[in-house]
Amino acid sequence: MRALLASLVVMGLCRGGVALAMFGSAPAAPAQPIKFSHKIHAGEAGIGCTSCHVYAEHSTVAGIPSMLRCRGCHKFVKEDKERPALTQEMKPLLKILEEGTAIEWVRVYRLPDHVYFTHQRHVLAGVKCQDCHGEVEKMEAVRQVPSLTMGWCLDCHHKKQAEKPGKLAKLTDCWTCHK
Amino acid sequence: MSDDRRGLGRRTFLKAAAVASAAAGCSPKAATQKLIPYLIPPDEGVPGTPLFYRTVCRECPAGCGVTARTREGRAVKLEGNPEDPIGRGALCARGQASLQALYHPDRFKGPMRRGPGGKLAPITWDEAEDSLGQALVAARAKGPGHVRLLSRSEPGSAGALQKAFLRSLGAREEDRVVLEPFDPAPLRAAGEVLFGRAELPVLDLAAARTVVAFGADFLETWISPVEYARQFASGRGRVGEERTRLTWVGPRLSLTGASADGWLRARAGGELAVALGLLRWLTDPKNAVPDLAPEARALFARVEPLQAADLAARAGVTWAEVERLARELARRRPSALLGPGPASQGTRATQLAGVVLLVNLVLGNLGRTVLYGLDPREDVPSSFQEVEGLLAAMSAGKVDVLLVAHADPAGALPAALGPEAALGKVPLVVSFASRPDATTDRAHLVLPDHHTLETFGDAVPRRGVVNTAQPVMTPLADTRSASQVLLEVAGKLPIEAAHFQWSDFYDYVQARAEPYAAAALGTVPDLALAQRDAQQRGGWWFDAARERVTPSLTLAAAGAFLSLPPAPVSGGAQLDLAVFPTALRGDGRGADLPWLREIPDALSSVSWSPWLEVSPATAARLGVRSGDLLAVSTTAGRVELPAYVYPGIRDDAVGLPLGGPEALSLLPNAKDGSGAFAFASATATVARAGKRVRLPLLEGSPYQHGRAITQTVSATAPAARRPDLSHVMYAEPKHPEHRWAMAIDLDRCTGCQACVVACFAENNVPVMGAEAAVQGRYMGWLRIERYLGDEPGGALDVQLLPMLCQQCTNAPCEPVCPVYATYHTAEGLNAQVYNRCVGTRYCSNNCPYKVRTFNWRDAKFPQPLQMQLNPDVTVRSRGVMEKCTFCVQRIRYGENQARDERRPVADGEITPACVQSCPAQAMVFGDANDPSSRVSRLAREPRGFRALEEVNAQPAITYLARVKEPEQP
Amino acid sequence: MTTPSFRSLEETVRATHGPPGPAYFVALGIAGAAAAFGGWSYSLIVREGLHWTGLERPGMWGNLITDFVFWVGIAHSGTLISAVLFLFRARFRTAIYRVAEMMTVFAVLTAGLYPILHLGRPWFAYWLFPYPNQRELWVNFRSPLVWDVFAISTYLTVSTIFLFVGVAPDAAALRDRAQGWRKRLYTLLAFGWRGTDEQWRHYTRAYLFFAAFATPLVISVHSVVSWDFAVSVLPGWHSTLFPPYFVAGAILSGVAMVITILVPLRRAFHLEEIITQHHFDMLSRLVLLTSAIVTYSYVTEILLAFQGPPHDPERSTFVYRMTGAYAPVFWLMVTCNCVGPTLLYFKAVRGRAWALLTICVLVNVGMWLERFNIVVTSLAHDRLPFDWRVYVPSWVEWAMTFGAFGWFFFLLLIGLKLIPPVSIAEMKEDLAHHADAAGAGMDHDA
Repeated sequence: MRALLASLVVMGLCRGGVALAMFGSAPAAPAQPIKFSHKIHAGEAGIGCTSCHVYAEHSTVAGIPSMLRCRGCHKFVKEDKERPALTQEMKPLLKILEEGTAIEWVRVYRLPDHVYFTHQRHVLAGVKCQDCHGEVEKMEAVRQVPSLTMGWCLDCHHKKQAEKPGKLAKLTDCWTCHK
Repeated sequence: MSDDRRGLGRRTFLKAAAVASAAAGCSPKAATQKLIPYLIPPDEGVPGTPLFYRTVCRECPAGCGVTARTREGRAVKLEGNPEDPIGRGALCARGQASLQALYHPDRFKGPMRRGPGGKLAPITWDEAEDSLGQALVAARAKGPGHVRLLSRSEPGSAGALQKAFLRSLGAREEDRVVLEPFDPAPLRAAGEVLFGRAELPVLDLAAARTVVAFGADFLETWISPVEYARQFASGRGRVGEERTRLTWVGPRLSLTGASADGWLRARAGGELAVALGLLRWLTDPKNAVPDLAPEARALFARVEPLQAADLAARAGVTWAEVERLARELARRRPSALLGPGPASQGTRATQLAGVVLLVNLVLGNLGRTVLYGLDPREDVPSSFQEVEGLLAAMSAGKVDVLLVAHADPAGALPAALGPEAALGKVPLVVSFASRPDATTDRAHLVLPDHHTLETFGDAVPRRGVVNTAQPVMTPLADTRSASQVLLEVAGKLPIEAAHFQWSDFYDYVQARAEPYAAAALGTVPDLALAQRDAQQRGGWWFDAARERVTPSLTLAAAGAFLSLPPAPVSGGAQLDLAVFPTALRGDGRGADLPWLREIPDALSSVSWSPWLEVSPATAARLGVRSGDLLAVSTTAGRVELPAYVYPGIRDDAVGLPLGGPEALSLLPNAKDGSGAFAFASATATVARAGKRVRLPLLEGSPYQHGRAITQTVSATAPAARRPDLSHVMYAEPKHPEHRWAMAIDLDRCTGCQACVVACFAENNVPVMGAEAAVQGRYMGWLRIERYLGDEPGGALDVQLLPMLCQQCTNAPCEPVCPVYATYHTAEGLNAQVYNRCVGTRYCSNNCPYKVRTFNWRDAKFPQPLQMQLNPDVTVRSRGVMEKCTFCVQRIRYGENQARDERRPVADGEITPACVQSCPAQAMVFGDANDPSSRVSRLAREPRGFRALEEVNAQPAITYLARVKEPEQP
Repeated sequence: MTTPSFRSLEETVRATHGPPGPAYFVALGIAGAAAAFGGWSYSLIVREGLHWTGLERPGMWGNLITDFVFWVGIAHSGTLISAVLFLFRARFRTAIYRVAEMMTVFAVLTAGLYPILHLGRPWFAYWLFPYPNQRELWVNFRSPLVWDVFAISTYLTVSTIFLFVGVAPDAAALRDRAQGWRKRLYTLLAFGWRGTDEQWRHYTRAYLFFAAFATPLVISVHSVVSWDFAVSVLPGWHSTLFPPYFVAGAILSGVAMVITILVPLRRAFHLEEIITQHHFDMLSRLVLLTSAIVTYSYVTEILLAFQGPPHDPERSTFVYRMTGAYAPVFWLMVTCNCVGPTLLYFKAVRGRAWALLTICVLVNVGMWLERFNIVVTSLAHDRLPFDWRVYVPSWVEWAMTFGAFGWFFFLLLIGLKLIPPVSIAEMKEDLAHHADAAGAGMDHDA
């Protein structure tokens, strides 16, 4: 019986996305179609997160910047005199902008479908982007920093709840995050 | 089901791969996902938040306004437009289900031409339009009548353009035939004869104290069901004299009749005799009915010779019953008598319509509840005579080009008219249908039209009401608006007259809107702005039509209607074939949509299959029970149908739902004086076929077995019985902030199923198919429980009970779950966390209301139906229990809105999908913690009771008992 | 009766471990095949979901839960005979308790499977065990299903230990003569037993302790199982009668199963000398007694239901059981559990092996039907008539039900070849007592 139970558990692990997520530790940064450095944009250039991820404050999703937004700056920024390497890096983007096609980014952060997560509530509650996404402004390529497990979410929710117990009772209600 | 075309949708539908599993709540983590940014971000709308568009419903001529909710550029749900005077925010089952027509897997992907091999092959739009143009030119050369157009009723720009187009080809008025199978033509005809007004009267049932329906199913399909359900309901839900009473007249108790306080079991065709009887009694001086219309005396002179006995005999009821109804009408004024509807539209339908109108006139209802002068007469449907004329011309080879726009002659006309043979004789049949039907199977050119949600347009269901349509999303396939195609073809024709000044249908619609704008706003400084504004609101609504004409009667004409109907012929082996429309199938144009097939009929609880209703006595005589196959044969044909034993039908009749091929193949070609098709004219012989099928029935036992599950109250006993639950053993859960609750008024509920479809759409409830239905694995979170009486063989007493999760305070489902997958939220909801559920199913066993459904297998949402899925609700995987959540996602949305605006949630601001969709406003949702909220006030009403209250689960749903006044002698 | 000598006894018992004949392999094959087919049928459910069963709303439990309750019931008499009768010093138990104990362990192994097999998502079955996890989720201790988890696992542990403790001395005896893998096996099972006085002293103490420890479980485990139903609000389940009623039923089915196994076993292994008519006689009385209790429970249950008003759902459910779609199940159950055993009043019947066997097999059938009757009819006839539906098990469920029997007998047949079906040590003890008694008598005569 034990053996069968064990085998069922294993089967479960292979099947259930949930079960997988349980052991989800931060994986390495996936390879993106073009080299895009948050370090340069958010770090050196000091562009705020929401100036590209424009929906973060009023929607569930933060939003992937539209190609129009890329063009907005790179109409003018076509090269870096000091750093020819960067000029090289820019070339593929400029080409894409020319063709008028879109960049097919590889997704880094993914929540299962049964999770209800809204950027809006978190951002408005004063959670800093870095609290969950790590110091993106220091990353050459973005990688998933937190495990995104339920325990990880709860950690923070418990802390916040402890600050004002009565008011934030809902923070640990299942249906606050599950749909 | 025998018919291939219907099968088509279902087959593709059922064998398609389980695409949902990718989205399923507990599915394996998807491989690398791509994020593809917008090239140019949409200027309106934010990804992840809903965006609403106002448009119009074209599923039936009622033309209700629609609010389409879109997410990331795809329509996910249809609701009514609260500003539209017809629907007032509600939308019927068929209207909501039209969303599945948009995403139907079988939709044509582009224009097609039938090749030499007899197969439809894709072509380009240019080819298609050119070949159509050439054919038109050729046919035109032969003179008028060689180009014909068959269309559904298009009261608006589309219709106007069709006419203009034909005119430009030199066609005559009659070359355009408008097919609306359920059009109450007899009512128009009678109106013309009596008042010289060939119009449909518009009803104000809210003003009527008594309603008598002569087979007019005004709560299901008749003329404008959503509007009439709302009006009718406004007079219900109260105890005493001022409550609106309804009497149903006909051989079969319809779903509309289920809301009635009395049923006059007139035999098929007997409605006329009843109406005459009423007229005779009311106008009879010795009954001294006060303040009758002046014409009454003169009319009595005509009806006096009719003997009460003869009338009663022809009606198939006792004279006392007729008298009782007449007395009620005399006492309760104003009233409204309605008819005929498809169920009573026999060979003497016009006479019935005439007498009904006369009774209305005598009682002074005209101008008060029955209003003339509101019919826009924008696009009056043709009579069946004209349709037949067209078919004759086709068969005679006089038609070279037949354009078919959203009409399905081969599939919607009685087989007796031989539409298929006629179609075969036409060299070029052009269909604008957007998905396969019996006509496209024979069409040479298929030019798929946009879905209403993909195109501009408008509909004028009534004078002073213009509902506008606009695209709510980009077209899914290479389809093109039929009107646009006409414009383009016309432009290419070598005919001067055909070169309209508009190249785009949009401009045409806008141009036609000018008078509306003027009527609505008086002076129009900026037309473009006004039109944009109208589009946002969903239409132009102006009161121009409010001058109510009281038509004057021409007595001489009335005489024609006042003759004694012939004695009934049927009897012996012959049974009357009582065909009837249903709220879900309607006239059959959307009957292949998965939701409408999956959801059981409210009265018979049958889904996925046609059925034949037989009375218990007939069943006993034939020795059959529900599910046994019966062979039904009429002069027109023979069909085998599963029996359903239903006490709500006369012993000398059998009932058969319209909207499917069965009825069409059984109905003989009979017409009434006005040229309308006579649905209620056939008699049939019924015999058992010996075989038995597993009929997909939702009902277990249709009787309450003395358990008083639903209650009724009356003026004498106005309060519902409640058990004593004062003894509390354990502390009950606290709900500090909100306690969401619902009240359902059983006196208003008509069982129209709009709420059920709304639930399917809002909550991604899967459609599991016929086999699952047979096995009792229907997944609906909300079902209409229908009881026919107390004990088998007892008195017929139809009671409807919408059953959904009661969100109990002491929920039996909660303590038994070993893993906390179900638990009690602080807002009083019985939450179900799908991805925590391991599927012990104990919660369902312990639920007294059996409102939890289990995923026995993975649900299927074949492409592109999965685009309809609501992203705010996950798709449940197999092995998981699921249930009604009071639409927690909508609650969440409402609470979010309120929080953003730093205000508390307003009462009535949050509505679950079912509550939102209810035409009768029988369902009310709100916060029980707020004593002043509507739901709290209703819960305190004496009519209030709770289902199975003795179990002491303390449901959050309060039912308001149906009112049952004893009939006065 | 001729009392066997020490040697003949040990010979007879060891003989059971001799090379098996064809009959054994045939039996093993049938059992194995049944189990394998059951397993394959279940794989359908794992792959495509429970739509392979006949379950629907409202009947969400069916054969699989019935099997679970049935096998837990079977498990009971083992402990009853070995522990309770031991405490009562009922001598007749000695010859038969080993088989009873093996039966117990294997029955629990069977029963324990079914709650897992019937899950919608069995791969998450481990969520029913309370263990620390990053989700910070705990099991719901209010749920009877969680009580089950504890009850069953406790029972399995205790009965297994009890079996092994009893086996130790015999294993030692066998060890000394066996060679090859058997030697290794018995060395393991003997737990280093050398039969010293000290070991004997500790052993008897320990055995007494385990007996005392196991006894309450006989009552508690099946009471807990009965709560699965009793704590619900379903008419026909919600009853305070259930715990004693279930325990009695469990013992009835268990003892019947012991007899069902012993009769052929005795014949096959020529244990007539050891397992005598006396034993069957005592067991039959046990069957008779428990059958009487069960009958009493049926009557009480029905009488209580009929206290209610005419339209009371509870009452209606019982009327439905007796007259509705499942009436045959009910009446067959009554015949097997109440009428059949009454024949055991007659010594003649008790004395005839085949008669005894037939009655006991029928009791087992009846007890399975009883559980089916409780689980299914109540669900099929709940409070809302509109939802009533008749549940009919699918072939997959039947395959799994018979698979359970296959699995059980497979384990048993293997076990019989590895573990002595009769406790040699205790039998010797008994013989010793006999010998003393005899010797004393002679002295007296002289």
